[in-house]
Amino acid sequence: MTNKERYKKAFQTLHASEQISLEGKIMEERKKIYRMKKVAAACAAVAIVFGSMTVAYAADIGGIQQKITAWFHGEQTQMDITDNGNGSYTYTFTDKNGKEQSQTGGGVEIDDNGNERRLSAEDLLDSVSNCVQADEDGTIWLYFYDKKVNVTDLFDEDGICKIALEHEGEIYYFKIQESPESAITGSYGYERSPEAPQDVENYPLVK
Amino acid sequence: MKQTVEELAERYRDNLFAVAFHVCKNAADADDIVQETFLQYYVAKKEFDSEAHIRAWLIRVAVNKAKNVNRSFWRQHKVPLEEYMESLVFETQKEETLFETVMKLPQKYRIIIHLYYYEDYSVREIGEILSLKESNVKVRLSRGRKLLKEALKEDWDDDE
Repeated sequence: MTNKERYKKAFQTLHASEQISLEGKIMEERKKIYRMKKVAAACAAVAIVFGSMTVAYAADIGGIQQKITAWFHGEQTQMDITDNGNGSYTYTFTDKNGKEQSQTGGGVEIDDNGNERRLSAEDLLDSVSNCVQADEDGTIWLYFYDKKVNVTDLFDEDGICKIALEHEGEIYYFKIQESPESAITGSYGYERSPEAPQDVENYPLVK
Repeated sequence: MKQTVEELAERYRDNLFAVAFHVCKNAADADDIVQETFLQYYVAKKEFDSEAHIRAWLIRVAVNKAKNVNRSFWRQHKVPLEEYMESLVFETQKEETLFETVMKLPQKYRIIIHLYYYEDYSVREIGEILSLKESNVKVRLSRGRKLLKEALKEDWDDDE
């Protein structure tokens, strides 16, 4: 027996689960949340940046720096961003207590070939400004620029939350759903559109 | 050309599962990766030249997704390999030993060994799928074979 024959015999025992659903109808449903999941993944990556990295006082940091005004959890914040050149950024900002702090992190998006594309500093901050996150206690928050809305009780029996938010005179319609096939527990994705959906009456407006 | 997901799944779901399993060593993650890989195909606006092109693309996507799972902070499936192996059926002890030995190889050797010995890809084709230089593939294949030979002795031929 050749090595190839040995190898194939040993590994032909591996089989994908029968639970995998590949019917056209199910794939169509999954396609709808595909984009939402991308947003959720980026959002969660940034949540790590701001949520659990060790906070350090801003030090003398090198690299290319830029200043940016960002919304973080409903509050406008001035940040200095340093591109560390290795896929990560260092964000320096003044916290609520007036202390200058810096945190480092990065994020990726996955393209059609499954390759990672490094997110820009603006992409990351956009995800922070506008995303859905669940607290440890299960409260689900939608952050959108200066808005922080508790949407926990707005999910219907199918696990979908619909809400409309006003920003700078425009109304945006959100459809939020937990990403069921995401590797990220409790991650949420959303579709956002400035165009009123057909069932606009199901979208309560928050100003 | 574009084939339906159902047609491709019929032919390649187990292959993609094995590829993903070689990278992440977890059956539940590998199932998720198979599902996501076919979804990626479903939504991709990509023209394929042939079925061989589709197959190579699916494997590349599955490998990349599996690597991403390995890097993820949020990895949620943590069934140990040993526990999963108890559910697998091997015809002989030698097959089980070969399986275990391959799983103990470093991941960068493991996936190349698998693509060569199971999927019958050439060194050049493996390089294209994994975006590696042929010389890198040759080195990793050689080192992987050497480790297998050292561990399996007479149960693995010296085929370099």
